[in-house]
Amino acid sequence: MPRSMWRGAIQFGLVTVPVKLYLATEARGGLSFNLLHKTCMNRIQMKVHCPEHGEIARSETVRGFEYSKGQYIVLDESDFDAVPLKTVRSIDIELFVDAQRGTQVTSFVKQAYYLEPEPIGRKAFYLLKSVLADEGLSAIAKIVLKDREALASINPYSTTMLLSTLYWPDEIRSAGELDLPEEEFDFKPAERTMAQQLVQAMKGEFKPEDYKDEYREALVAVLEAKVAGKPAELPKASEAPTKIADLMSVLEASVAAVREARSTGGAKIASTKSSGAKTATAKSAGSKSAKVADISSGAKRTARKAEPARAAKRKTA
Amino acid sequence: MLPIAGVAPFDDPAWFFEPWWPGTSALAYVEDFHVRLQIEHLADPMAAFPELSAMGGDFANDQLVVEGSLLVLDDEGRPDQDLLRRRLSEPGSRDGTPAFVASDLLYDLGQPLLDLTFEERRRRLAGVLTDTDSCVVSRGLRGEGITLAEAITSMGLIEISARLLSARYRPGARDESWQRVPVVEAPIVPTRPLLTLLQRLPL
Repeated sequence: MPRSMWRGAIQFGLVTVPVKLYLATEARGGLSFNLLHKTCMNRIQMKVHCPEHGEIARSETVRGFEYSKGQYIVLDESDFDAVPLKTVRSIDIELFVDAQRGTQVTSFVKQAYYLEPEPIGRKAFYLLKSVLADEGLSAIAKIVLKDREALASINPYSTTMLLSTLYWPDEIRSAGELDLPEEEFDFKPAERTMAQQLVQAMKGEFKPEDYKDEYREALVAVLEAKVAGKPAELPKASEAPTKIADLMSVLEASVAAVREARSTGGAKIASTKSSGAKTATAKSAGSKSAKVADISSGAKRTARKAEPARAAKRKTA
Repeated sequence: MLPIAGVAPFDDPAWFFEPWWPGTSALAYVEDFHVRLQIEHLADPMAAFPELSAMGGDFANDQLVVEGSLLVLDDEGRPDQDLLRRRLSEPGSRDGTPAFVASDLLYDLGQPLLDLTFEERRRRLAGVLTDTDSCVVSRGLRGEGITLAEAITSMGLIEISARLLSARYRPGARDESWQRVPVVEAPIVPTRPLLTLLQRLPL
Protein backbone atom coordinates (compact mmCIF):
# COMPACT_ATOMS: atom_id res chain seq x y z
CA MET A 1 0.00 0.00 0.00
CA PRO A 2 1.36 3.45 -0.79
CA ARG A 3 1.82 6.07 1.85
CA SER A 4 -1.24 7.45 3.50
CA MET A 5 -2.21 10.85 2.16
CA TRP A 6 -3.94 12.12 5.27
CA ARG A 7 -3.91 11.42 8.99
CA GLY A 8 -6.61 12.54 11.39
CA ALA A 9 -9.53 11.27 13.35
CA ILE A 10 -13.16 10.43 12.83
CA GLN A 11 -15.19 12.30 15.39
CA PHE A 12 -18.78 11.89 16.39
CA GLY A 13 -20.20 12.76 19.74
CA LEU A 14 -17.47 12.13 22.23
CA VAL A 15 -15.88 9.37 20.19
CA THR A 16 -12.58 9.95 18.40
CA VAL A 17 -11.18 7.31 16.08
CA PRO A 18 -7.72 8.07 14.68
CA VAL A 19 -7.48 6.99 11.04
CA LYS A 20 -5.32 7.30 7.93
CA LEU A 21 -6.66 7.91 4.45
CA TYR A 22 -5.46 6.21 1.29
CA LEU A 23 -6.58 6.90 -2.24
CA ALA A 24 -8.88 4.04 -3.19
CA THR A 25 -8.55 4.50 -6.94
CA GLU A 26 -5.93 5.39 -9.44
CA ALA A 27 -6.51 7.01 -12.74
CA ARG A 28 -5.22 4.81 -15.52
CA GLY A 29 -7.33 6.72 -17.96
CA GLY A 30 -5.90 7.41 -21.36
CA LEU A 31 -2.34 6.78 -22.36
CA SER A 32 -0.54 10.07 -22.62
CA PHE A 33 1.06 11.26 -25.79
CA ASN A 34 3.55 14.04 -26.54
CA LEU A 35 3.23 16.53 -29.32
CA LEU A 36 6.18 16.38 -31.71
CA HIS A 37 7.20 18.55 -34.61
CA LYS A 38 6.26 16.54 -37.69
CA THR A 39 9.46 17.12 -39.61
CA CYS A 40 12.21 16.85 -36.97
CA MET A 41 10.41 14.82 -34.32
CA ASN A 42 11.48 17.14 -31.55
CA ARG A 43 9.10 17.66 -28.66
CA ILE A 44 7.48 21.01 -29.07
CA GLN A 45 7.74 23.44 -26.19
CA MET A 46 4.88 25.28 -24.64
CA LYS A 47 6.26 28.77 -24.13
CA VAL A 48 4.57 31.42 -22.05
CA HIS A 49 3.64 34.06 -24.56
CA CYS A 50 2.39 37.59 -24.08
CA PRO A 51 0.70 39.13 -27.12
CA GLU A 52 2.48 42.43 -26.44
CA HIS A 53 5.93 41.37 -25.23
CA GLY A 54 6.35 38.02 -26.86
CA GLU A 55 7.92 35.21 -24.85
CA ILE A 56 8.21 35.87 -21.11
CA ALA A 57 9.40 33.88 -18.10
CA ARG A 58 6.83 32.04 -15.99
CA SER A 59 8.08 34.01 -12.97
CA GLU A 60 6.77 37.17 -14.63
CA THR A 61 3.17 35.95 -14.35
CA VAL A 62 0.61 36.73 -11.64
CA ARG A 63 -2.83 35.31 -10.89
CA GLY A 64 -5.75 37.46 -11.90
CA PHE A 65 -9.49 37.07 -11.31
CA GLU A 66 -11.76 38.33 -14.06
CA TYR A 67 -14.55 40.06 -12.14
CA SER A 68 -16.08 41.51 -15.28
CA LYS A 69 -15.25 41.31 -18.97
CA GLY A 70 -11.60 42.26 -19.40
CA GLN A 71 -11.34 43.57 -15.83
CA TYR A 72 -8.98 41.73 -13.52
CA ILE A 73 -7.91 42.06 -9.94
CA VAL A 74 -4.56 40.57 -9.10
CA LEU A 75 -4.06 38.34 -6.08
CA ASP A 76 -0.57 37.74 -4.74
CA GLU A 77 0.58 35.18 -2.21
CA SER A 78 -0.21 37.43 0.75
CA ASP A 79 -3.84 37.61 -0.35
CA PHE A 80 -4.09 33.83 -0.46
CA ASP A 81 -2.44 33.66 2.97
CA ALA A 82 -5.13 35.95 4.33
CA VAL A 83 -7.85 33.39 3.58
CA PRO A 84 -8.61 31.54 6.83
CA LEU A 85 -7.51 27.99 6.22
CA LYS A 86 -8.97 25.06 8.01
CA THR A 87 -6.24 22.88 9.33
CA VAL A 88 -8.38 20.68 11.52
CA ARG A 89 -7.38 17.10 11.23
CA SER A 90 -10.73 15.58 11.77
CA ILE A 91 -13.58 13.90 9.99
CA ASP A 92 -16.63 15.36 11.66
CA ILE A 93 -19.64 13.14 11.31
CA GLU A 94 -22.68 15.38 11.02
CA LEU A 95 -25.40 12.76 10.79
CA PHE A 96 -26.26 9.26 9.70
CA VAL A 97 -28.58 8.62 6.79
CA ASP A 98 -30.22 5.61 5.23
CA ALA A 99 -27.51 4.12 2.99
CA GLN A 100 -29.92 2.97 0.28
CA ARG A 101 -31.74 6.19 -0.31
CA GLY A 102 -29.62 8.71 1.49
CA THR A 103 -29.63 12.23 0.19
CA GLN A 104 -29.25 12.02 -3.55
CA VAL A 105 -26.11 14.10 -3.22
CA THR A 106 -24.27 10.93 -2.20
CA SER A 107 -24.50 9.77 -5.82
CA PHE A 108 -22.09 12.48 -6.92
CA VAL A 109 -18.76 11.15 -5.74
CA LYS A 110 -15.53 13.03 -6.36
CA GLN A 111 -12.98 10.64 -4.98
CA ALA A 112 -12.99 7.50 -2.85
CA TYR A 113 -10.52 6.89 -0.02
CA TYR A 114 -9.86 3.84 2.12
CA LEU A 115 -9.85 4.44 5.83
CA GLU A 116 -7.27 2.66 7.97
CA PRO A 117 -7.69 2.87 11.75
CA GLU A 118 -4.64 3.57 13.86
CA PRO A 119 -4.02 0.64 16.21
CA ILE A 120 -5.42 2.55 19.16
CA GLY A 121 -8.72 3.20 17.40
CA ARG A 122 -9.32 -0.18 15.83
CA LYS A 123 -12.03 -1.38 18.14
CA ALA A 124 -14.05 1.82 17.89
CA PHE A 125 -13.53 1.84 14.11
CA TYR A 126 -14.95 -1.63 13.65
CA LEU A 127 -17.73 -0.94 16.11
CA LEU A 128 -18.77 2.00 13.95
CA LYS A 129 -18.47 -0.10 10.81
CA SER A 130 -20.55 -2.87 12.29
CA VAL A 131 -23.30 -0.50 13.38
CA LEU A 132 -23.41 1.18 9.97
CA ALA A 133 -23.61 -2.19 8.25
CA ASP A 134 -26.27 -3.57 10.56
CA GLU A 135 -28.45 -0.49 10.41
CA GLY A 136 -27.90 0.10 6.71
CA LEU A 137 -26.64 3.61 7.33
CA SER A 138 -24.12 5.98 5.79
CA ALA A 139 -22.32 8.63 7.77
CA ILE A 140 -22.30 12.14 6.32
CA ALA A 141 -19.19 14.02 7.39
CA LYS A 142 -17.04 17.02 6.69
CA ILE A 143 -13.32 16.69 6.18
CA VAL A 144 -10.54 19.15 5.38
CA LEU A 145 -8.38 17.84 2.58
CA LYS A 146 -5.65 19.88 0.91
CA ASP A 147 -6.76 22.98 2.81
CA ARG A 148 -10.26 22.65 1.45
CA GLU A 149 -13.33 21.57 3.29
CA ALA A 150 -15.13 18.70 1.62
CA LEU A 151 -18.43 16.93 2.11
CA ALA A 152 -18.03 13.17 2.47
CA SER A 153 -19.90 9.97 3.11
CA ILE A 154 -18.52 7.01 5.05
CA ASN A 155 -19.68 3.50 4.27
CA PRO A 156 -18.60 0.01 5.28
CA TYR A 157 -16.58 -1.58 2.52
CA SER A 158 -15.05 -5.03 2.55
CA THR A 159 -12.72 -5.23 5.58
CA THR A 160 -12.61 -1.49 6.12
CA MET A 161 -14.66 1.61 5.43
CA LEU A 162 -14.74 3.87 2.45
CA LEU A 163 -14.77 7.64 2.65
CA SER A 164 -16.14 9.24 -0.49
CA THR A 165 -15.78 12.96 -0.96
CA LEU A 166 -18.89 14.42 -2.55
CA TYR A 167 -19.74 17.43 -4.62
CA TRP A 168 -21.31 20.27 -2.70
CA PRO A 169 -24.99 20.65 -3.53
CA ASP A 170 -24.35 23.96 -5.32
CA GLU A 171 -21.84 22.20 -7.57
CA ILE A 172 -24.48 19.80 -8.83
CA ARG A 173 -26.40 20.92 -11.85
CA SER A 174 -30.16 20.71 -11.81
CA ALA A 175 -31.76 18.07 -13.98
CA GLY A 176 -34.44 20.67 -14.63
CA GLU A 177 -32.30 22.05 -17.45
CA LEU A 178 -32.90 18.88 -19.43
CA ASP A 179 -35.62 18.38 -21.97
CA LEU A 180 -37.57 15.77 -20.06
CA PRO A 181 -41.19 14.85 -20.67
CA GLU A 182 -43.73 16.15 -18.21
CA GLU A 183 -46.40 13.55 -18.80
CA GLU A 184 -46.38 10.28 -16.95
CA PHE A 185 -46.26 7.16 -19.07
CA ASP A 186 -48.85 4.42 -18.87
CA PHE A 187 -47.29 1.02 -19.33
CA LYS A 188 -49.46 -1.82 -20.46
CA PRO A 189 -49.26 -4.84 -18.15
CA ALA A 190 -47.82 -6.81 -21.07
CA GLU A 191 -45.06 -4.27 -21.61
CA ARG A 192 -44.24 -4.23 -17.94
CA THR A 193 -44.19 -8.03 -17.77
CA MET A 194 -41.98 -8.15 -20.81
CA ALA A 195 -39.53 -5.65 -19.37
CA GLN A 196 -39.53 -7.45 -16.05
CA GLN A 197 -38.78 -10.73 -17.77
CA LEU A 198 -35.97 -9.18 -19.72
CA VAL A 199 -34.51 -7.65 -16.59
CA GLN A 200 -34.92 -10.96 -14.80
CA ALA A 201 -33.13 -12.78 -17.60
CA MET A 202 -30.23 -10.35 -17.39
CA LYS A 203 -30.05 -10.37 -13.62
CA GLY A 204 -26.74 -11.51 -12.26
CA GLU A 205 -24.01 -10.80 -9.83
CA PHE A 206 -21.86 -7.81 -10.69
CA LYS A 207 -18.31 -9.01 -11.08
CA PRO A 208 -16.20 -5.94 -11.74
CA GLU A 209 -13.25 -8.10 -12.77
CA ASP A 210 -15.26 -9.18 -15.82
CA TYR A 211 -15.09 -5.65 -17.17
CA LYS A 212 -12.12 -3.90 -18.58
CA ASP A 213 -11.16 -0.91 -20.62
CA GLU A 214 -11.09 -2.52 -24.05
CA TYR A 215 -10.15 0.64 -25.86
CA ARG A 216 -7.07 1.05 -23.71
CA GLU A 217 -6.05 -2.57 -24.27
CA ALA A 218 -6.47 -2.26 -28.01
CA LEU A 219 -4.47 0.96 -28.01
CA VAL A 220 -1.67 -0.67 -26.00
CA ALA A 221 -1.63 -3.53 -28.53
CA VAL A 222 -1.29 -1.05 -31.37
CA LEU A 223 1.55 0.70 -29.53
CA GLU A 224 3.36 -2.52 -28.74
CA ALA A 225 3.12 -3.66 -32.34
CA LYS A 226 4.48 -0.33 -33.52
CA VAL A 227 7.36 -0.45 -31.06
CA ALA A 228 8.15 -3.96 -32.28
CA GLY A 229 8.12 -2.63 -35.84
CA LYS A 230 5.15 -4.64 -36.95
CA PRO A 231 2.17 -3.17 -38.69
CA ALA A 232 -0.59 -2.99 -36.15
CA GLU A 233 -3.31 -5.55 -36.61
CA LEU A 234 -6.47 -3.65 -36.54
CA PRO A 235 -9.82 -5.31 -36.04
CA LYS A 236 -11.51 -6.00 -39.34
CA ALA A 237 -14.50 -3.95 -40.20
CA SER A 238 -17.64 -5.88 -39.59
CA GLU A 239 -19.73 -7.05 -42.49
CA ALA A 240 -23.21 -5.82 -43.12
CA PRO A 241 -25.53 -7.73 -40.85
CA THR A 242 -27.20 -10.77 -42.29
CA LYS A 243 -30.62 -10.41 -40.96
CA ILE A 244 -32.09 -13.84 -40.42
CA ALA A 245 -28.78 -15.09 -39.09
CA ASP A 246 -28.87 -12.19 -36.64
CA LEU A 247 -32.17 -13.42 -35.36
CA MET A 248 -30.62 -16.81 -34.71
CA SER A 249 -27.72 -15.09 -32.94
CA VAL A 250 -30.17 -13.23 -30.74
CA LEU A 251 -31.82 -16.53 -29.92
CA GLU A 252 -28.52 -18.17 -29.08
CA ALA A 253 -27.45 -15.19 -26.98
CA SER A 254 -30.70 -15.12 -25.16
CA VAL A 255 -30.49 -18.84 -24.39
CA ALA A 256 -26.98 -18.20 -23.09
CA ALA A 257 -28.31 -15.36 -20.96
CA VAL A 258 -31.00 -17.53 -19.45
CA ARG A 259 -28.47 -20.22 -18.68
CA GLU A 260 -25.99 -17.81 -17.27
CA ALA A 261 -28.73 -16.36 -15.09
CA ARG A 262 -29.25 -19.80 -13.70
CA SER A 263 -25.50 -20.44 -13.58
CA THR A 264 -25.96 -24.01 -14.65
CA GLY A 265 -25.07 -26.10 -17.67
CA GLY A 266 -22.06 -23.96 -18.47
CA ALA A 267 -20.26 -26.77 -20.25
CA LYS A 268 -23.07 -27.37 -22.66
CA ILE A 269 -23.27 -23.95 -24.16
CA ALA A 270 -19.81 -23.79 -25.58
CA SER A 271 -21.11 -23.77 -29.11
CA THR A 272 -23.63 -21.08 -28.35
CA LYS A 273 -21.03 -18.83 -26.85
CA SER A 274 -18.72 -19.10 -29.79
CA SER A 275 -21.28 -18.00 -32.31
CA GLY A 276 -23.95 -16.07 -30.55
CA ALA A 277 -22.34 -14.29 -27.67
CA LYS A 278 -20.95 -11.46 -29.73
CA THR A 279 -23.09 -8.67 -31.04
CA ALA A 280 -25.41 -9.50 -33.82
CA THR A 281 -24.28 -6.64 -35.97
CA ALA A 282 -20.56 -7.15 -35.68
CA LYS A 283 -19.84 -10.66 -36.61
CA SER A 284 -17.63 -12.05 -39.27
CA ALA A 285 -18.52 -14.54 -41.92
CA GLY A 286 -16.41 -17.05 -40.05
CA SER A 287 -18.66 -17.18 -37.07
CA LYS A 288 -21.59 -17.98 -39.26
CA SER A 289 -20.13 -21.19 -40.52
CA ALA A 290 -19.28 -22.24 -36.97
CA LYS A 291 -22.92 -22.18 -36.02
CA VAL A 292 -24.69 -25.40 -35.28
CA ALA A 293 -28.31 -26.15 -35.71
CA ASP A 294 -28.78 -27.51 -32.24
CA ILE A 295 -27.82 -24.92 -29.72
CA SER A 296 -27.21 -27.43 -26.99
CA SER A 297 -25.99 -30.61 -28.58
CA GLY A 298 -23.14 -29.11 -30.51
CA ALA A 299 -23.99 -31.60 -33.24
CA LYS A 300 -21.61 -31.27 -36.12
CA ARG A 301 -23.03 -30.69 -39.50
CA THR A 302 -22.28 -33.36 -42.01
CA ALA A 303 -19.87 -32.52 -44.75
CA ARG A 304 -21.45 -30.65 -47.59
CA LYS A 305 -21.57 -31.87 -51.10
CA ALA A 306 -21.67 -28.46 -52.67
CA GLU A 307 -19.27 -28.01 -55.52
CA PRO A 308 -17.44 -24.69 -55.72
CA ALA A 309 -19.61 -23.32 -58.51
CA ARG A 310 -22.72 -23.67 -56.44
CA ALA A 311 -21.02 -22.32 -53.37
CA ALA A 312 -20.27 -19.15 -55.29
CA LYS A 313 -23.82 -18.93 -56.45
CA ARG A 314 -24.95 -19.18 -52.82
CA LYS A 315 -23.07 -16.07 -51.83
CA THR A 316 -25.13 -14.04 -54.23
CA ALA A 317 -28.41 -15.23 -52.77
CA MET B 1 -48.10 -32.74 -40.46
CA LEU B 2 -49.74 -30.42 -38.00
CA PRO B 3 -49.05 -29.77 -34.33
CA ILE B 4 -51.43 -30.23 -31.45
CA ALA B 5 -51.81 -27.46 -28.92
CA GLY B 6 -49.47 -27.90 -25.98
CA VAL B 7 -50.13 -26.71 -22.48
CA ALA B 8 -46.88 -25.43 -21.02
CA PRO B 9 -43.14 -25.71 -21.69
CA PHE B 10 -41.51 -28.83 -20.32
CA ASP B 11 -38.13 -30.52 -20.12
CA ASP B 12 -37.72 -33.93 -21.70
CA PRO B 13 -34.54 -35.30 -23.33
CA ALA B 14 -36.66 -37.13 -25.92
CA TRP B 15 -37.93 -33.82 -27.34
CA PHE B 16 -36.46 -31.04 -29.40
CA PHE B 17 -37.57 -27.47 -28.79
CA GLU B 18 -37.36 -24.51 -31.12
CA PRO B 19 -39.09 -21.15 -31.23
CA TRP B 20 -42.41 -21.00 -33.01
CA TRP B 21 -41.39 -18.33 -35.46
CA PRO B 22 -44.14 -15.80 -36.08
CA GLY B 23 -44.60 -16.39 -39.76
CA THR B 24 -46.49 -18.85 -41.87
CA SER B 25 -45.74 -22.53 -42.24
CA ALA B 26 -44.41 -23.33 -45.66
CA LEU B 27 -43.08 -26.18 -47.71
CA ALA B 28 -40.17 -25.48 -50.03
CA TYR B 29 -39.79 -27.77 -53.05
CA VAL B 30 -36.33 -27.66 -54.56
CA GLU B 31 -36.03 -28.98 -58.09
CA ASP B 32 -33.10 -28.27 -60.39
CA PHE B 33 -32.04 -25.86 -57.65
CA HIS B 34 -35.17 -23.80 -58.24
CA VAL B 35 -37.44 -23.41 -55.31
CA ARG B 36 -41.20 -23.43 -55.20
CA LEU B 37 -42.98 -22.46 -52.03
CA GLN B 38 -46.31 -23.71 -50.78
CA ILE B 39 -48.20 -22.17 -47.93
CA GLU B 40 -51.60 -22.92 -46.52
CA HIS B 41 -53.84 -21.19 -49.00
CA LEU B 42 -51.64 -20.00 -51.83
CA ALA B 43 -50.23 -22.49 -54.19
CA ASP B 44 -47.00 -20.56 -54.60
CA PRO B 45 -46.51 -17.23 -52.90
CA MET B 46 -43.09 -16.82 -54.51
CA ALA B 47 -44.35 -13.83 -56.51
CA ALA B 48 -44.65 -11.98 -53.23
CA PHE B 49 -41.15 -12.98 -52.15
CA PRO B 50 -38.90 -12.53 -55.18
CA GLU B 51 -35.94 -12.21 -52.84
CA LEU B 52 -36.29 -15.90 -52.03
CA SER B 53 -36.28 -17.13 -55.60
CA ALA B 54 -32.54 -17.76 -55.49
CA MET B 55 -32.94 -19.83 -52.34
CA GLY B 56 -32.68 -23.11 -54.23
CA GLY B 57 -28.98 -22.47 -54.58
CA ASP B 58 -28.62 -22.47 -50.83
CA PHE B 59 -29.14 -26.21 -50.71
CA ALA B 60 -26.36 -28.70 -51.25
CA ASN B 61 -28.69 -31.34 -52.69
CA ASP B 62 -31.48 -31.23 -55.22
CA GLN B 63 -34.95 -32.81 -55.28
CA LEU B 64 -35.77 -31.69 -51.76
CA VAL B 65 -38.88 -30.95 -49.80
CA VAL B 66 -38.17 -28.74 -46.80
CA GLU B 67 -40.67 -27.75 -44.16
CA GLY B 68 -40.22 -24.45 -42.40
CA SER B 69 -41.55 -21.01 -41.63
CA LEU B 70 -41.78 -18.11 -43.97
CA LEU B 71 -41.05 -14.83 -42.17
CA VAL B 72 -40.84 -11.21 -43.10
CA LEU B 73 -38.32 -9.26 -41.03
CA ASP B 74 -38.65 -5.61 -40.25
CA ASP B 75 -35.81 -3.10 -40.34
CA GLU B 76 -34.63 -4.30 -36.96
CA GLY B 77 -34.36 -7.87 -38.16
CA ARG B 78 -37.41 -9.04 -36.24
CA PRO B 79 -40.18 -11.16 -37.70
CA ASP B 80 -43.22 -8.99 -38.34
CA GLN B 81 -46.60 -10.59 -38.97
CA ASP B 82 -48.07 -7.38 -40.36
CA LEU B 83 -45.39 -7.12 -43.01
CA LEU B 84 -45.98 -10.76 -43.89
CA ARG B 85 -49.71 -10.19 -44.23
CA ARG B 86 -49.09 -7.15 -46.39
CA ARG B 87 -46.79 -9.10 -48.66
CA LEU B 88 -49.36 -11.83 -49.08
CA SER B 89 -52.36 -9.56 -49.54
CA GLU B 90 -50.98 -6.67 -51.58
CA PRO B 91 -49.31 -7.71 -54.78
CA GLY B 92 -46.26 -5.57 -55.33
CA SER B 93 -45.61 -4.92 -51.65
CA ARG B 94 -41.90 -5.12 -51.03
CA ASP B 95 -41.80 -4.08 -47.40
CA GLY B 96 -39.47 -5.91 -45.05
CA THR B 97 -37.04 -8.69 -45.78
CA PRO B 98 -38.40 -12.18 -46.35
CA ALA B 99 -36.62 -15.18 -44.88
CA PHE B 100 -37.15 -18.90 -44.66
CA VAL B 101 -36.38 -20.79 -41.46
CA ALA B 102 -36.10 -24.50 -42.25
CA SER B 103 -37.11 -26.97 -39.57
CA ASP B 104 -37.65 -30.33 -41.25
CA LEU B 105 -36.47 -32.23 -44.33
CA LEU B 106 -39.09 -34.48 -45.93
CA TYR B 107 -37.46 -35.49 -49.23
CA ASP B 108 -33.78 -35.60 -50.08
CA LEU B 109 -32.52 -36.37 -53.60
CA GLY B 110 -36.07 -37.33 -54.49
CA GLN B 111 -36.24 -39.97 -51.76
CA PRO B 112 -38.90 -39.69 -49.04
CA LEU B 113 -37.52 -39.39 -45.53
CA LEU B 114 -40.92 -39.60 -43.87
CA ASP B 115 -40.16 -42.88 -42.15
CA LEU B 116 -36.98 -41.59 -40.60
CA THR B 117 -37.05 -40.13 -37.13
CA PHE B 118 -37.27 -36.37 -36.72
CA GLU B 119 -33.77 -36.45 -35.24
CA GLU B 120 -32.38 -38.04 -38.38
CA ARG B 121 -34.35 -35.78 -40.71
CA ARG B 122 -33.07 -32.75 -38.87
CA ARG B 123 -29.51 -34.03 -39.01
CA ARG B 124 -29.85 -34.39 -42.76
CA LEU B 125 -31.42 -30.95 -43.04
CA ALA B 126 -28.37 -29.42 -41.38
CA GLY B 127 -26.30 -31.32 -43.92
CA VAL B 128 -28.01 -29.90 -46.98
CA LEU B 129 -28.58 -26.28 -45.98
CA THR B 130 -25.95 -23.64 -45.38
CA ASP B 131 -27.14 -20.52 -43.60
CA THR B 132 -27.46 -17.51 -45.86
CA ASP B 133 -28.92 -14.07 -45.49
CA SER B 134 -32.38 -15.32 -46.28
CA CYS B 135 -32.43 -18.99 -45.42
CA VAL B 136 -31.31 -20.71 -42.23
CA VAL B 137 -31.84 -23.89 -40.28
CA SER B 138 -33.87 -23.15 -37.16
CA ARG B 139 -32.01 -23.25 -33.88
CA GLY B 140 -33.29 -25.08 -30.89
CA LEU B 141 -32.55 -26.97 -27.72
CA ARG B 142 -32.69 -30.65 -27.07
CA GLY B 143 -34.56 -31.56 -23.90
CA GLU B 144 -34.72 -28.06 -22.46
CA GLY B 145 -38.10 -26.62 -23.28
CA ILE B 146 -38.25 -24.45 -20.21
CA THR B 147 -34.89 -22.82 -20.88
CA LEU B 148 -35.88 -22.11 -24.47
CA ALA B 149 -39.23 -20.73 -23.37
CA GLU B 150 -37.50 -18.32 -21.01
CA ALA B 151 -35.03 -17.30 -23.68
CA ILE B 152 -37.61 -16.50 -26.34
CA THR B 153 -39.78 -14.52 -23.96
CA SER B 154 -37.06 -11.95 -23.80
CA MET B 155 -37.21 -11.79 -27.61
CA GLY B 156 -40.92 -11.04 -27.60
CA LEU B 157 -41.86 -14.48 -28.93
CA ILE B 158 -44.74 -16.32 -27.33
CA GLU B 159 -44.71 -19.95 -28.45
CA ILE B 160 -42.29 -22.80 -28.83
CA SER B 161 -42.46 -25.84 -31.02
CA ALA B 162 -41.81 -29.17 -29.28
CA ARG B 163 -41.05 -32.20 -31.44
CA LEU B 164 -40.50 -35.78 -30.41
CA LEU B 165 -37.06 -36.73 -31.71
CA SER B 166 -38.05 -40.33 -32.38
CA ALA B 167 -41.23 -39.50 -34.31
CA ARG B 168 -41.88 -40.24 -37.98
CA TYR B 169 -43.51 -37.68 -40.26
CA ARG B 170 -47.26 -38.11 -40.81
CA PRO B 171 -48.34 -35.99 -43.78
CA GLY B 172 -51.46 -33.97 -43.26
CA ALA B 173 -52.20 -35.35 -39.82
CA ARG B 174 -52.33 -33.59 -36.52
CA ASP B 175 -49.91 -35.56 -34.43
CA GLU B 176 -49.05 -35.71 -30.76
CA SER B 177 -45.37 -35.86 -31.53
CA TRP B 178 -45.47 -32.18 -32.43
CA GLN B 179 -46.75 -29.59 -29.98
CA ARG B 180 -47.24 -25.88 -30.31
CA VAL B 181 -46.65 -24.69 -26.77
CA PRO B 182 -47.49 -21.23 -25.40
CA VAL B 183 -44.77 -19.89 -23.13
CA VAL B 184 -46.68 -17.18 -21.32
CA GLU B 185 -50.12 -17.31 -19.83
CA ALA B 186 -51.13 -13.84 -20.90
CA PRO B 187 -50.12 -13.47 -24.53
CA ILE B 188 -47.67 -10.67 -25.05
CA VAL B 189 -48.06 -9.06 -28.39
CA PRO B 190 -44.59 -8.19 -29.65
CA THR B 191 -45.29 -4.53 -30.20
CA ARG B 192 -42.79 -2.01 -31.40
CA PRO B 193 -41.56 -0.68 -28.03
CA LEU B 194 -40.19 -4.14 -27.43
CA LEU B 195 -37.69 -3.64 -30.22
CA THR B 196 -35.71 -1.44 -27.91
CA LEU B 197 -35.78 -4.15 -25.31
CA LEU B 198 -34.62 -6.71 -27.81
CA GLN B 199 -31.68 -4.54 -28.72
CA ARG B 200 -30.67 -4.48 -25.10
CA LEU B 201 -30.26 -8.22 -24.98
CA PRO B 202 -26.78 -9.33 -23.97
CA LEU B 203 -25.48 -10.34 -27.34
